[in-house]
Amino acid sequence: MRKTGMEYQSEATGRARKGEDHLSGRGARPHGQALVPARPSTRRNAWLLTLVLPGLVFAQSNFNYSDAKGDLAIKAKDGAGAILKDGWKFDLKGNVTISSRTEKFNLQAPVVSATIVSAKGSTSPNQVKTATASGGVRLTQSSTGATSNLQSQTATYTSGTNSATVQARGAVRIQNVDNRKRETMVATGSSGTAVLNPKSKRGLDSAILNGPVRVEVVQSGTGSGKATFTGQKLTLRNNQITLTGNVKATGSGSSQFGNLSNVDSVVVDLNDNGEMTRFQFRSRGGA
Amino acid sequence: MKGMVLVALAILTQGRVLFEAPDRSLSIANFSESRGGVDFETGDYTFWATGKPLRIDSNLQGLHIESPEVDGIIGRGTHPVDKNRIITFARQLDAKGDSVVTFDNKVQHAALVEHAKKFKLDPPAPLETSRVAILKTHSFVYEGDQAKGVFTMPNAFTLEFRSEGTSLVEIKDGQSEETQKVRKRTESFATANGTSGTLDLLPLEQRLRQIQGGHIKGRPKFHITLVETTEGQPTPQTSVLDAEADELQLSMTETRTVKLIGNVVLTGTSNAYAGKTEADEAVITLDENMKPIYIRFTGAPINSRIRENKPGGQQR
Repeated sequence: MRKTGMEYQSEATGRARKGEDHLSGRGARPHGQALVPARPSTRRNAWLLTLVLPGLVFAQSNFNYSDAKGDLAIKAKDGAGAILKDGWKFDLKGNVTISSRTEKFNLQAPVVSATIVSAKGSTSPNQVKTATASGGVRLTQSSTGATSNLQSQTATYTSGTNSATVQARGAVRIQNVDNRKRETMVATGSSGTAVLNPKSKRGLDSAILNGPVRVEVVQSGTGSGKATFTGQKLTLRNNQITLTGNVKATGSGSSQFGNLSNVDSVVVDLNDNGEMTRFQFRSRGGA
Repeated sequence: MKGMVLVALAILTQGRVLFEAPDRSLSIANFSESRGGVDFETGDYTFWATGKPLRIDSNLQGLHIESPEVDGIIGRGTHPVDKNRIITFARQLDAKGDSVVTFDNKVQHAALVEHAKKFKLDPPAPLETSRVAILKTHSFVYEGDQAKGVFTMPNAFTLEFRSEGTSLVEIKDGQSEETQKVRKRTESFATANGTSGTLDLLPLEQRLRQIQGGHIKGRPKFHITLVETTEGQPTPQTSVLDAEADELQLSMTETRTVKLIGNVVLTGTSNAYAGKTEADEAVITLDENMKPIYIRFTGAPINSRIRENKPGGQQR
């Protein structure tokens, strides 16, 4: 982030920052008041204002943020921002959407508290460092071919060096969609952790769901064949799904292999398209 | 109703269920440890399981297996007759430890009735004769498909057949010489044992006699006890037949024969056959109720006295 340039101050919050990012806040408290330049003294500032104004006119939401290149876009009905040493901290409410073009990442929630920073080489904050979302969260991570969608009641997103970690709680749902927009996997649990990576297959490096968990996977080479597994814990890593704790499995459609029950663990193998090719089970002790 | 009760009882007594086929016709239960998997390339379900004992039920086949340890493959494929139906069947079973395999046509009939209801098929004909065959062996290997299979027993085993049925027979009235139809109840108990052998299985045999044949080695012994109770006759008729030979071949198809090969010794105490015969070979022909109706010896029979029952209880 550049230290020189225009400073903006939110009239609502009285906070200010430096940068070349575009910030508009018709809805920043109180409603209808825009973020205006604190010291609109330079020609450059005036030029930037002309960029901001169309945003104010055409924006669907009342709070908009985007970095200089437009890689990161944040929209909300109501937003407040606090300047940090290396970026912004936003408190956002109402139809919040955070979209990162470079990280192929999209987050939607009614309430989000997010910290954004500048990635290496960027002139303005363009990377979500942390985001805590609540009230029904929808998170999408795309990769080259496929997409992973994550839903939960609350979620905390923390970006790392090459990936981002999401801690999700309450009705967690992870869905994989292939490049033909076909759903290949849906996993649900009560809480969980997902490691997102736009460079990995399906945008998901790994995921752990705690239970009761349920996962539905498409069978390789079939149109309608699916298998459903239930258990207490689910781990997704390296094209493998592992379920543990009183696991049950059943097939449907053209995958009617039967019902498997009372099993300690099941390992499901996936191909590169995210389709199930086989599964193995194991059970110890019992009657 | 009776069928539903049988199926419900089977479910209640089967213990912890590991696997159940989509149409519930095949299950693996009462297991202690297990591992296995489903390969969607081949469609096969492979498993290894132990139990005290492990129970495998294939109700449409009337097949019940109890064994301490089984390594197996469950297959899926089209029904050999009705190509529109996909069925689940045992493709391979390798049982280790003292194992008991029961073929029960009452269980099979009940499952067929339920299956017919579920898939809107013609129900099977009412059961006239109940038949149970029990194989007791230390270990066995079964290999088959949806149409047929073979049990191979590498070690000593015994095979028991029990059948029970009622039929209408014609008997002559002693005074008028006229014939009349009366009910006759037949109970038979047969055993065969050997040191090794094979049994041929037609799992989906609609006439509900699953064991279609077999070959027993190791100086097998064959025994039949038959008790016939005819309406109006107060004393049941009991027939006993014992046979011993180097080898024994069972054929339970239309001919229903027991072929004894090599150093045959046959003893009987019945109206059909009484006495002792030694021969090179003997072929015993049985009726539906496992009653010996004809015995043919080859070689040099000695000390033989054979009587054969005619229909209606007469002998010829």
